Amino acid sequence: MRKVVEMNNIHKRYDGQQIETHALQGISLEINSGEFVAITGPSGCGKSTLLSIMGLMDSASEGEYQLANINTAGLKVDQRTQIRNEHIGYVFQSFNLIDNLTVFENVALPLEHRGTSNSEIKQRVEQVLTQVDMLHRQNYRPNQLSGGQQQRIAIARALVGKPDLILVDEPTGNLDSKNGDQVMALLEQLNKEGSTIVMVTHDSRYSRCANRQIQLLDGRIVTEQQLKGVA
Amino acid sequence: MSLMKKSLQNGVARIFALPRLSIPLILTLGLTLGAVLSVIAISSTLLYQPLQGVNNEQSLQTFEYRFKMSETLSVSYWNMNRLAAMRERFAEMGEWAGISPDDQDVTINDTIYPTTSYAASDNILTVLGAKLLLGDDVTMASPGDYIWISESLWQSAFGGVKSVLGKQLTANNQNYTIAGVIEDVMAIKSNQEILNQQVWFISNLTEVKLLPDNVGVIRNDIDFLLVRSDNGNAQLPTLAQTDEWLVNYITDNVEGDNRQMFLDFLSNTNKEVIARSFRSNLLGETEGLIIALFAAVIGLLLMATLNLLNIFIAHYQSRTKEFAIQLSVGASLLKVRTMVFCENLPSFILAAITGLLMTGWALKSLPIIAGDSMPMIDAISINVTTIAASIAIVLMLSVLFSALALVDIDKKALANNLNSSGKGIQAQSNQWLSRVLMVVQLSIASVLLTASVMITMQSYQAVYQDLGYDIGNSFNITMDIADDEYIAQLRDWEQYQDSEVKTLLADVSTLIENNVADSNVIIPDFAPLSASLQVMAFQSEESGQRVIYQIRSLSSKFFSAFNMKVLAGANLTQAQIDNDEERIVIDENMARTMFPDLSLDEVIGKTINFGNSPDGPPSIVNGIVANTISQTGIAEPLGLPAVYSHRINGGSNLQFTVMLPEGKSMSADMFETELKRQFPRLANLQVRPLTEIWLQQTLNQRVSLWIVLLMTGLTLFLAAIGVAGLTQMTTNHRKYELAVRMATGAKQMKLVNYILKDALWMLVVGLGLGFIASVFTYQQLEQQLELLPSFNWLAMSVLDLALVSIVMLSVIMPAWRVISADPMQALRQE
Repeated sequence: MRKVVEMNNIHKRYDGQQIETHALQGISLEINSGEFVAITGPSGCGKSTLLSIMGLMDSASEGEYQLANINTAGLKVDQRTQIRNEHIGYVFQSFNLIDNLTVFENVALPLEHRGTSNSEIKQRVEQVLTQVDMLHRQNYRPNQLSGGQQQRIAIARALVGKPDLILVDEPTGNLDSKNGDQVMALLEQLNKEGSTIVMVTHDSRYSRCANRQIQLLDGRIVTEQQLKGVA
Repeated sequence: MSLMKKSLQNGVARIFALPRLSIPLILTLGLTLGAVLSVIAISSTLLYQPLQGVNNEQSLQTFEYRFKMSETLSVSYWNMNRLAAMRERFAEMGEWAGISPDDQDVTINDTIYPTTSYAASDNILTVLGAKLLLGDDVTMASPGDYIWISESLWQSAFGGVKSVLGKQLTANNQNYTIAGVIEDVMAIKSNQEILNQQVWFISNLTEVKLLPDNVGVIRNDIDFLLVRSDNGNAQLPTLAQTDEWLVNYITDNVEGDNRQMFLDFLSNTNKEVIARSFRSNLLGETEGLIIALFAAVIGLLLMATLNLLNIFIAHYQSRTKEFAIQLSVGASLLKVRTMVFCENLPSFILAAITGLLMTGWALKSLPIIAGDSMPMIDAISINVTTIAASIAIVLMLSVLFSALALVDIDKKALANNLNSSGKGIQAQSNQWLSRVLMVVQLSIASVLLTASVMITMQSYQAVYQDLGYDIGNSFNITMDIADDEYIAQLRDWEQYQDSEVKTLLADVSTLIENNVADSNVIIPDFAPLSASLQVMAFQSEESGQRVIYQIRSLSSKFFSAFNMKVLAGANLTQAQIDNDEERIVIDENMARTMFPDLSLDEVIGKTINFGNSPDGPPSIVNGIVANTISQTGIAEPLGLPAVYSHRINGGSNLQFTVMLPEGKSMSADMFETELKRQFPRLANLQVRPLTEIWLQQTLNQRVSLWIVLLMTGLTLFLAAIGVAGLTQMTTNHRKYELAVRMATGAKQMKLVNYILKDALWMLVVGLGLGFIASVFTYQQLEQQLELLPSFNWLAMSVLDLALVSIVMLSVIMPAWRVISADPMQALRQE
């Protein structure tokens, strides 16, 4: 099975005015194609930091990270951007949709930046919006939608570029349980269709949807548990 | 639709949807661009446009030889005779020529045409490279009875027909035969506007050289000589060489006692030679003005840019998350910047259009603003350079502003921006940049305002200074005496008592009083306010020093009519004037110059020997009056002592000063017919109120006053909206922080104080730096630009106080608006 993520001894330190915070302390992990991995742990354990580094939104202070066999060390800002565009779909806890763009335009963004033709963009965006059941809202603006709907748009945006890896940061954190369940069902469905998903959550109900669960504490992996087989 | 197209569309929509961003941008940049582009249009025309009618510019230089009568008055020594001698002496340097422009009405077929007349040497066309279009060359022998006309006059008065040659025109009551047509020559330095309808009076230098020259008379006949050399870079005579030439010239032209007297006078007076390129001479003080204006508008543009940058940075800060999202989904830095560029472009284009409109308006107003003092004024317009400059500036600024869009984003840790709530301090992580920009802006404002205030004060003082007299409801009447024979007859000073000029002046005065109801001819000569100046010199017997003074006229009612203070003694009575007594009145300056050790009362009755000049006034001091300023609108009065004589010279024109009761007016129509009937040899009658002369004399200073006031206003406006904009944006960004402070018990006033305290250091550092830069820069500029007045500490203090007040207000008002609009709401959101 193809390795999508290979992390070796990843450290992340934040320098404050007087104290240094060691957010990640030697994380090593591998994620294969088709896996659904849940990263759990208490607040401040380094879950989101790990996801940010995995998504090339942040860089490690130390350690090696290969994404889809690309060594990410020493990459320039625009090189990281390009890798993100081609290989990663990111779903944020607070959705991060652009208010002055329509649903369609928000979802189309990664393809626009990739230089995809308009006809292909249309076809692909409609496809993913259908997948998340939001096609009927394609001309709406984000602020006209509910939280659950916004999160589904954010997932559609993450899917649209057919990335090797979908990173999901607390997807249910801003949602009520009904919307949270719907989003998790969608993620499960996507994984069954072949998407590799890494999800950060502190909700144990949802972490059980994953194939594998990694638990962090104080910046270290404390347990790693295979929950079910990869589809 | 592509993202770029979408951004462009957003940009158009933003003009209306985000007026807090678009209006300051369009107004600030538009107004500033208007100023910058106007200066670019003026300078590109003046510095680089080919000169109409002057085709040899590259090989031309000008040469001035001036006598400095006082610190502010210098007079050119050149006339045609002296040019002829100079040309022969320094022939190896190149071809020397002379040209002198003047206003001249000419009559063609009973129609009067206002023209510019050129009195020029016969080699002028060769030297200038101007084309003779038709007729005889100006080098013809005895050109005195002939006249050459310009192409425009030829077209307008004769319809451009070739048969114009040999036709007659009348100028100064004399008939001239048209010998040729010359292309319009527009680029000659002049105090008056150069019209394209021109007439040329040519002097044959070979013939002129044989005529006598009164070498002691210095009267600016020709302001500068032209020298045409192979490379336009000839080593022109030094002051020593020119002085040596002058001594020889006087020796060759004067005999007897006068020779030494002239030599003494001419060699003991301060002189200067000025050699420069033709264009530099043409531009004169305008060159310095362009540099000053360039410095000012670039300062303004810099201020406006910093100002807008601050507003944009604050705007970008509010969009940090949006940009971070774009980056997170794969947009390159360049792409995001390009999108921002596209978004900004419509507003910037609108600003450029506003700037060009402002420029067009400013250039259209230029003749009103600059009057006749700016050369080539008709050629100044929005040209290719101006449009290219506007595009370049706008594109440059757009690129700069777009480049800064991502300044607040941590490109290597996007998560910081994406996970931030946008609340609190984090929203202004680059606030230091805004503050640095604001400090620089305040410093520039301080420097600009210093220069503005100094010039404003100088202009104000020049315009509204105490002249030493009241103008009242007085009028100046002028008329020309056209024929030379009559002028010579009137100038017979030996026969002054019963001379024709005295009778003529008395008769014309009576005629005016008889024909204009309630009029009172105060003096048949200049009023105290006058554009004319007659300067003479003599060697004081007491001190041996050379005294240069201005000679003015008096009448028995002159001083009282204009409310001029008599400090000692008395004016001459009518009986003393009628008896032609050897008495004069002098001003205080003359009394102090001649009798520094005596009190004013002791000076009365003293005698001043003005030398042997037949034109010298009588010499017993009968009274002393206060100093007056005869030519207003100049920063430094001429400062020449004055002698008032009752003997009134008859020259080529006559002047009368008439007082009317308040509210009454007079015009030439009231007595022109009678004047023509009784005195047919007098022509060109003109009547002007003295207030009009005052307005004309002070025009440049008044205009400069208003321009500088406008610039000052614009600078203050920029500083104010810059500070206000920054405060508005930063306070808005700190809503969350302010809300937390309020939630924990801070009152609104305390929050305002908190923000004010925060702004105070900007003010202190900005104005402190500005103060140092102002003093230093101003001292440097003062050395380069003569037009700048000396540094005034009082003005500087007042200015800083004004700036502090404006900045404080600009901080308090927007801060209060944000604070009073319930910042607690921020806590309830999200």
